[in-house]
Amino acid sequence: MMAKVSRIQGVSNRRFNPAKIFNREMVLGIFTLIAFIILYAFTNFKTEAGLTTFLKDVSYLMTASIALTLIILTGNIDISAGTMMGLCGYAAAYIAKMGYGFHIYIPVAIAVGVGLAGLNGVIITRFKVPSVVATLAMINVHLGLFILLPQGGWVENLKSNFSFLGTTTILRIVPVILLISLAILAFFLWFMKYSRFSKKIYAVGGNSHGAVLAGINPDSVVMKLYLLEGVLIGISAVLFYTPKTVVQSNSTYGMEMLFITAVVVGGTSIMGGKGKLMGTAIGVILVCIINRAMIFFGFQDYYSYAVQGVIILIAVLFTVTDFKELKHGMRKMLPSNQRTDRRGNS
Amino acid sequence: MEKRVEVSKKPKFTVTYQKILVVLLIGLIALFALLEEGIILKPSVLFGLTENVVEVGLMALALTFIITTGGIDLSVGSTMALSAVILGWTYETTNNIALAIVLCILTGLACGALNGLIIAKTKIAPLVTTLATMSLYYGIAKIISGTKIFSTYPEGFKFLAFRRLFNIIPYQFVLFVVVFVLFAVFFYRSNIGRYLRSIGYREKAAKFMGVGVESVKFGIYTLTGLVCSIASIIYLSRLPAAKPDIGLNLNLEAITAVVLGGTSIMGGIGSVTGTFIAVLVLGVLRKGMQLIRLGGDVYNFILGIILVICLISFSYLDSMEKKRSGG
Repeated sequence: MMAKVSRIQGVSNRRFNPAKIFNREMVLGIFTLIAFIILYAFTNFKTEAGLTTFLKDVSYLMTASIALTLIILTGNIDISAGTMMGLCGYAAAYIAKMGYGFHIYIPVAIAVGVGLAGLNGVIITRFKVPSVVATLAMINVHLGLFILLPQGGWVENLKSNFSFLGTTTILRIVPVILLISLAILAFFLWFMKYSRFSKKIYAVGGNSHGAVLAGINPDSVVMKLYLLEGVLIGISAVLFYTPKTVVQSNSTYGMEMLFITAVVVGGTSIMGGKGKLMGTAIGVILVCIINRAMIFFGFQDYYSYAVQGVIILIAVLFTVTDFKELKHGMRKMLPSNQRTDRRGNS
Repeated sequence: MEKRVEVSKKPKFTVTYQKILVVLLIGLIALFALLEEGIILKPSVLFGLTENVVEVGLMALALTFIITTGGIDLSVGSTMALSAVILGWTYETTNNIALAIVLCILTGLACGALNGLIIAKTKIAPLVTTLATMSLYYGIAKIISGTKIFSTYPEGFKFLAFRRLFNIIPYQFVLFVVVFVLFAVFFYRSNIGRYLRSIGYREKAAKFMGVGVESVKFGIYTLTGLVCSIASIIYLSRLPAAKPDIGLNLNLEAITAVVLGGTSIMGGIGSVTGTFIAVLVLGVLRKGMQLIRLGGDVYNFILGIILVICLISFSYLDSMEKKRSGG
C-alpha cells in the first residue's frame, strides 16, 4: 500500500529491498509454479494436446479477467460478463457463418460487447444503480435474449474461416490465441504502470469522494472502463469460441464466477482500490492449473467446485490478513529491548 | 364536493416505492386476466400463484435482513440444494424421514453459520465469502449425489405442496405468510430491525452505539441457512427430485425479489413488506407466462427488464427524497 501511494505521488523509492521482493504476487507465483511442476511431472499433462488445451483456457480467461480486474479496481463489478460473452460469440459466429473472415467478425464481436457493456455502464453511472444489481438484472435480460435469437442461440457447422484462428498453433503447442491474450496482457501491464488513467482508476476505487475533490469525474472513469470491458469481453468471446465448431451461446452462463475467482485469487480487493494486474495474470494461471489438475488426478468434474470454493476462501484470507499486524504480533513475542514502535497502518 | 376531495387528499399521500409495486402487482393481474379471459381471477389459481415461488420467497425474506445490513448472500441456492440432497440421501440410506429432516435443517444451519462466522470474524467481504461457499456447497452436494437423483419420499411428504386449507389456500402459502409476519414483526417492531438498519447505514457508528455487530451478522446468516433448509423441504414436497442443480438460479432470483421490493443493495434501507409484494409479483409473472404459454426464458427477460426499470425508478425516487429533505 505504501509503495503504491508513493508511486501515485511520483516519489521514487527505488532502493533495493530484498524484503519487498517477497510480496504477494511472488508468493502466489511460486505457489503456481510448484502446482505446475507437480502437474507436469506426475500426470500425462505434458502431451501436446494437454498443454494446448491448457493454454487455450488461459488465453480467453486472461482477457476476460483483465477486463474484470479493471472494473473491480473501481469498486464496481460485472456479473453479466459470462452471458455477455455468449452474445458476442454468437454474433461473431453468425457473421462467420455468412462467409466473412476474422477481419469482419472480430470487430462485430467487439461492437456487440461494447454495446452491452456500455448499456451496463449507462445504467450504473447515469442512473446511479449499484453495479451488482444492475448487472444481475442484465443477466436476466441476456438469458432472455438467448431464446429470442434464431435457433436458440446455437450456430452449428462452422467452417474453417471461423475456427482457423483458434486451431492454428505455433510449434504444435502454442496456440495463436494465447499470443493475442499475452499481447493484451503486456499492453495493460504497461498501461497500468505508466498511464495517468490507471492512477485515476485506483483513486476512484480507493476513495470516490476523494477522487472528486482531486478533480476526477468518477462516473466518466467508470463509464470508460465499462466500454473497455466490452472490447475485452468481445475479444475474449472470440478466443473462447474459435477453437470450436459449434457456438452455443448459453454455455458461458456462470463463467463470470470463474473470472471473479481469478481476479480475487490474484489479490484484487473486491471493495476496490487495491490490487495488481500481475496478480490477476498469476491467478488466471492458477485457476486453470487447478481445473486441469482435477481432471488429470482423476477427480470427477464435481470436485472442482468444492475445491474452487476452498481456494477462493484461502486466497482471500491471505489478502485481507494484515501482514504488518501479524509482524507486529510476532515482534511482541521478542524481548522488549528488541521491539520497535509500530509505525503506519494498513 | 371536489374541494373536499382535495382536502382529504392533502394529508400526506406520499408516493412510496412499495405503493408503486402494489399498483404494478394489480396491473399485472389485470393484464393477465384480460389476456386469458380471467382464469387468473379464479380463487384456486389466485391463491396458487405462489406455488412456484414460495422457496424463493422464503429465501428472499431472509436475504432482506442480510441486504439491509449491506451484506449479500449468493450461497442461498447452493445451501438449499445441499440441504435437499442431504435429506434425500439420508432418507434413501436410513429410511427414516424424521432423521432426514433433522439432518437437513442442521445442514442448513451449519452452512449459514459457516458464512456468518467467516463474515463476522474476518474482513472478507460478504460477496466473496458467499461466492466461495456457493461453489463449496454446490460441490459438496455434487460429491454426495454424484449423478444420482434422490426421488423417493414417503406419501405424507407431499402434504405441504398439495393439500389446501379450506380447499383453497395451499399450506405452503400459509407457511409463507406466517414466516413473513414473523419477519416483519422482527424487522419493524423489535430492536433487531433497528440494529440491522444501523449496521447497514454505518457499521462503525452501530458498533459505538453498542450493537453487537458480529453477533447480529452471525445470527442473520445462520437464520438464512435455516430458512434455506426449510425452503428445500418445501421444494422437495413439490418436486420430489433432490439434485445439486436445483439451486443454480435461485440465488439470483431471490436477490431480484429483495431488490425489486425496494431494499437498497448498499444497505441501510430495507423493506420486508416490499420483498413480500415483490415475491407475489414474481409469482403472478411466472403463472401468467405459463397461462399465455411463454417459456421460462421469456420470463427471465421480462423479469430483467422490470428489475432495471424498478431500480432506475427507485434511485430516482431516492434522489427526489434527498432533494426534498436537502432544501
